[in-house]
Amino acid sequence: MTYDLEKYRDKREKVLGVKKRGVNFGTIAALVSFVIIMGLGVVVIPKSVAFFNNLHLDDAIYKLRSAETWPQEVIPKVNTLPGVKNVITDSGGARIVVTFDRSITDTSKLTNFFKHQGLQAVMLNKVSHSQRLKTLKKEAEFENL
Amino acid sequence: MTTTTENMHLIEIQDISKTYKSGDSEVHAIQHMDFYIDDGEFVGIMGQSGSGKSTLLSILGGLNHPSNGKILLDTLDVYNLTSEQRADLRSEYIGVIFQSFQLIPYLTVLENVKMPMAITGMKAKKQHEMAMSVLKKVGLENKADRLPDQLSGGEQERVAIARAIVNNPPILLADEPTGSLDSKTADEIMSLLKQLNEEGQTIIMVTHNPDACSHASRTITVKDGTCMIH
Repeated sequence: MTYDLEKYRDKREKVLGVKKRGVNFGTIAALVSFVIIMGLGVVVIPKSVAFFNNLHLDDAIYKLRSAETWPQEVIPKVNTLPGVKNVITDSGGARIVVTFDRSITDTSKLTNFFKHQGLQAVMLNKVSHSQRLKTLKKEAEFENL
Repeated sequence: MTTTTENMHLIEIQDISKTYKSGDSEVHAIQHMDFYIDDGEFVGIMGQSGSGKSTLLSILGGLNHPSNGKILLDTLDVYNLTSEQRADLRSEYIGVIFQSFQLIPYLTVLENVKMPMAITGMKAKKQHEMAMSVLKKVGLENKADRLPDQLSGGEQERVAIARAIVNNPPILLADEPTGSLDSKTADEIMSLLKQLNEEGQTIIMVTHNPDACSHASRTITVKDGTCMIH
């Protein structure tokens, strides 16, 4: 009687480990590690980048002593000052929030600028830019409740 | 491409011996056995109690290391493999039917049949399909949800056969498969084994019953640890 060596080749190779079955442990471990690292990266890296980008920024909030709205032509001028990153109007134009780089300028320079423009500006608050963003986020969440 | 060879066999038993220590003396359970079994054969191994036939079956099943000699199964030297490779060999090549069925009493018929597939990493749906397919083959597809003790002895034997063949092993080892059955049920079980053999299954059956051996294509008689081939 002849014996067909090919008939059970598949089984023979499985026994001898020539043909691997399924996915081995190393591959699964590498895949899981990759997913965890990428997941952490997606969560942590943008927050870290945003934190370091905002680390040197402060926000100063001003209103006019007369409680009038800010003249619109002043806003672009404030934006051109050295160290000022952004100016936004708030409370229907009665307040402005100036975001500036504290390593380049400070609130005394901003106050001098306003005086030079003939405006009697009152600084209501000065906070770190990151802190203000967090506060705004919390307020938005609270309003959505 | 098909590679065939004249001088090779599915199982080659080459000069195996098995010696146990019993106190100060040695028991020579098997002495210098030398034979082969071809693919698709139905071999009956006969012998009286204590003749060494069950020891021979456990050695063939890769469960009992012989003291001397070697066994080649599909050219693989069974006892020269690592224990992990030998476990894979048992899973891939061998199904076993035990005399007392050895069904797990708190699992259903279907769950018992699925058991050998649990370690293969096969998907659950495929496992279910294969288990139902072999239950249909042994005529028990309508009793898949029953527990073993809700079945007759013959039906439990059929479940044991279904479990043994569910992984599609080329070799079926049966240890006294009709030993605890009445003669009518025993005949039914032997007919089922014969049918499996006709479908290509290699069967090696240990029995002390000459009637059961009449279904085999070849009989090996074991006496005092040695064998005679008929």
